Amino acid sequence: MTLQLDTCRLVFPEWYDERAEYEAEQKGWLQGVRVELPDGEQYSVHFYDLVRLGQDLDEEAKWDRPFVAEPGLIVVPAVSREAITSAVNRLAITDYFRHLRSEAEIRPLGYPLAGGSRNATGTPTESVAT
Amino acid sequence: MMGTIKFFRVGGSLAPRPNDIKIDPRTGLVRPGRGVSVQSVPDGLERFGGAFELSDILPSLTVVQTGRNPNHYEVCPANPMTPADYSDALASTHLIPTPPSGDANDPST
Repeated sequence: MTLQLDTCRLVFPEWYDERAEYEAEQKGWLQGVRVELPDGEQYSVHFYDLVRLGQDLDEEAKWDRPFVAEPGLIVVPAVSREAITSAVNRLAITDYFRHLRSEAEIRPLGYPLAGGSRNATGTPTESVAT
Repeated sequence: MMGTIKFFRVGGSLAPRPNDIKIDPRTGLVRPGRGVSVQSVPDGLERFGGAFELSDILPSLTVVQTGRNPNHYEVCPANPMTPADYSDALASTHLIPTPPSGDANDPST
């Protein structure tokens, strides 16, 4: 699914159907979304609501990872279509996405971790300085 | 307390999708704390194929409340496990079709 916004396009992953949209709002997080600017550059973004962000921080701390870090993290009041599109539109106006690495700039094999891999959407879930 | 709550899944499958899990890039294992969504209230799920009650959840899985909705839970790995083991554990959980009937966890209904 692709949504044409005032300032850009929101490209959702192929598995993002009506049920996934419902569940993403329930879960309070969504990955695998890309923002496409008018010049064609795409940027991966990751949405969280504040409640889930706190819950995940607590969970990660149990496993000696007391932080939450995702490329292109955007915290919204709710992981709903309305909140996501509003946030992305306003961020695009202020050129926020130009501060991120576009999909074309991300190295395809740049994560030299033992047994390293990307998540199911192809987005690295944790970056490590090389 | 948790053991007395009934959990319901949308549709007839517990197969995880990409937005259900996080994989640790160092180990390739599914991280605890995330999993497939379930609810403690079966109503409102007809548009997605109806509600199915979970039964016989393996001890390698744990059900935790997540998100803003207090009726929303996720069936998560109790400990890090391979994606295949997680999928297998979920697949062994029985799903029983349930007609909508109010709050199934409310003893007065």
